[in-house]
Amino acid sequence: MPIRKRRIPTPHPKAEDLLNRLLQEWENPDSTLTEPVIIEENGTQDRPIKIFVVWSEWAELNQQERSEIIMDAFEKLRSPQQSLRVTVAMGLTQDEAARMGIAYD
Amino acid sequence: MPLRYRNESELETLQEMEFAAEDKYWEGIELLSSGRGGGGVYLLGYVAEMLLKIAYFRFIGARPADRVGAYLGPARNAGRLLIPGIDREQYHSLRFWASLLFQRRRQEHRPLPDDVAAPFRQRTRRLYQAWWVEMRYRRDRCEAWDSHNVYEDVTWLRNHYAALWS
Repeated sequence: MPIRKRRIPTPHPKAEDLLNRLLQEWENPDSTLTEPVIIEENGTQDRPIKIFVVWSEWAELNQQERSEIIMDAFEKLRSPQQSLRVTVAMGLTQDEAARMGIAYD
Repeated sequence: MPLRYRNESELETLQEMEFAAEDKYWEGIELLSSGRGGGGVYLLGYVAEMLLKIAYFRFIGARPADRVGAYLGPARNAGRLLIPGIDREQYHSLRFWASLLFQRRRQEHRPLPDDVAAPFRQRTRRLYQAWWVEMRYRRDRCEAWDSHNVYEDVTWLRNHYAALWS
């Protein structure tokens, strides 16, 4: 049988940098940066968690890539078990958030 | 406006995917009934993928107008935990979505009812053995019984998929 190389999809070149920066911000709730804005919705006990991250840096990435980065960060900060409670992980630019009516303080 | 841009201008939501599944289902049937087994099976496999994704997303609380992309990251993480070792195949694997839905329901103490669970497992397993997304690069090796089985299994999913998340 011929030997074939499996095509491994490569992450977006900015993915690792964005993950590290997102983690840094998530760990520092008192950060004075204006972005990324991390919004957790319905995060009470036993309720599903919805996460929205508003960030201009998402512009080059598709929805799947954004969602995976957010989940990577969440899992590192909490735990794989906790990440089961997350049903939505959506990355949005400022314009996209405004169009979707995602409001925050 | 070119077709691609017309398609891209529409957000990829659950309801858009549901419409796509219905379109592709009938297009697949047309192909099968005119003896184009390879094309028909290929389209019907996508129908199964879309129905399984919608069922899983609806089960965890998604609404029809929600964007699909935001549910993929959480599904990947849930898959790592609940069905480790099953390849997502870039989120196209029928085995991944069927197993994830099945295990997620069990994990939340809301397993599929017995009369749905058994045919669901049997039919999605057979579909996984017939279809995978990479088959588009292969010659058509579809036999009449492949067409028949895929038609039967996808039609069962289409007829029962609301029961998969309720």
